[in-house]
Amino acid sequence: MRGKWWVPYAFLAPPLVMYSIWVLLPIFQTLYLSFTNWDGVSPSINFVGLSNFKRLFEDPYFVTSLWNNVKWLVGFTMISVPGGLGIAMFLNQKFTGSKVYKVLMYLPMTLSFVVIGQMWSWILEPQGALNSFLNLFGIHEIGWLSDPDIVTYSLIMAALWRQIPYAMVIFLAGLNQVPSELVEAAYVDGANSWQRFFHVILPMLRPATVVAITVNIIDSLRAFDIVYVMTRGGPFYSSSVMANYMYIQAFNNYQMGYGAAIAVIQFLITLGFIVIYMRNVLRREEA
Amino acid sequence: MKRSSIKLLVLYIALISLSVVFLMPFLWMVTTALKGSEDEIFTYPPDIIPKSFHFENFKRVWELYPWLTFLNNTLIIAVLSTVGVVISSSMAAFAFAVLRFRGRDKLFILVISTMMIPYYTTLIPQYILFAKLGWIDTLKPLWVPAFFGSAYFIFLLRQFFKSIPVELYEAARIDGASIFQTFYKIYFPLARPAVITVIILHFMAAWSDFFGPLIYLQSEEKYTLVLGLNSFRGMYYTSWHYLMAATIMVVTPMIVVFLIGQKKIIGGITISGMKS
Repeated sequence: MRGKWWVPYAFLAPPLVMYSIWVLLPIFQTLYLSFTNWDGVSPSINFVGLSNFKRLFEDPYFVTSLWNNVKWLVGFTMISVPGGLGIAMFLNQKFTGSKVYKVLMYLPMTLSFVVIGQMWSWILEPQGALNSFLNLFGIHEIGWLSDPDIVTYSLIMAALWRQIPYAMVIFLAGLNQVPSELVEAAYVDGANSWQRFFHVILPMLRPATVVAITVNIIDSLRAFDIVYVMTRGGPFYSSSVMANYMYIQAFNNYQMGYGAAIAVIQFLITLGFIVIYMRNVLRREEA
Repeated sequence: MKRSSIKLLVLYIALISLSVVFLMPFLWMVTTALKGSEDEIFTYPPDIIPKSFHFENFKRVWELYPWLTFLNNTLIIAVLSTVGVVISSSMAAFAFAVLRFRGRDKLFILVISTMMIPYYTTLIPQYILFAKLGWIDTLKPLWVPAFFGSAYFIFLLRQFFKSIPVELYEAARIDGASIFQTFYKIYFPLARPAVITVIILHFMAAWSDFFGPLIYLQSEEKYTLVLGLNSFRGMYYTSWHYLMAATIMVVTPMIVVFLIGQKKIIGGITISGMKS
């Protein structure tokens, strides 16, 4: 009845090969490259120690990119998590057409960020839909994508259009797990709807909340597509994020070593959140 | 009675404003795509419903750019990588869920940790590897790696395999089936619903991928639809009616797939609270 000892490993061979050559090794290679000034072409690779990292923090464009990632992170966690929760609470009630509404809300999630970028570039055009609408209230010509002070917020707004429904899906699944008897019991005991929400439903939604927050954090740190499609990080790097700046340095300017240093910083920031997420997933798993 | 009808009214007003915010971009895309000229696009106030419907925009866009080539490339990548991801992920998931062997749980944690590592952490060495293989500007970097499995789908399928009673495995083995036969004759067919979820999710992700094609594809005849759409914008950047028509052409198949497979997709996303 027992098979040969190596059979399970044969089943796992493809992912394990991938894990080693495709992920584990490249992480160390990236780390190694970040200590060099390799241009991606020349045969000799010069070791330059920590100078790439030193240069990064003196590079105003990198600092802007890092800061913009922080804005993405705050925007995603502070808006998409409560927004998704609110909409989920709302759509969790049964009413005529609630199913159709849910499907409509899911739609933005099916779109590629490139598509979302195109749609929102048009909405945010100087003479586009949003400015025409604001004109009705006497607000004139906001440079959504051309004003360096605003542009990052415009990009986050476009991304939220997809991210809020995504958080909503996670919370809707969480709400399915909340036993209705519990909510009814609280109702019978005289709890009003706010009390039912804060003292009964919200504590039950803790796992879903942790997942929604970590997923949003990780997504905000890997933002690239929308930035690339809508502004390419411009004007003058004002909307650049780390992923986008790394792409420019490594693949447009052929500064592989410098690009690798950006990737390392990004990886280190993300790593902490990955650990939190994994622990949570595994705990749910055992439960 | 009266109180509940007020509540209902508030509910519907909220729903309508919510749907306006979320559906306006779609509506705006469709109406722009049907407008006649650049002058008509930029009128103020803008017409929400176009004065006349110009369905010929779609025909014009179709002729302006080699969409069929892009579609062909996209389908090659999406189909091949889906086949690869299904085979290797289901085998690995089976091993993790059903078989007993040393170091299983540690390996599992190791494999699924990879699903959240940002792709650009490993991007530069991967690019160098493909460059050495001479695969730059070919479709291969975009589908060959799928044959090594996807951590996310391994996770998803493992959940499913774990729900199958272990007695089934034991019975099959006692009847003389090999481990591999048990997998492909019993477990794989049973996992059909989960496999379909994987197929839909992966196909949609492959169709929408932008970063991979952007890095690896250079010549236009290798472009995917999404990459083509992006470069089309570079050429016709003020012709928003054409751009929106092209965008509609690219997204419609995905929206159709989504509407058909909606339950499976949402189920798949909620299993791990993660998208591919």
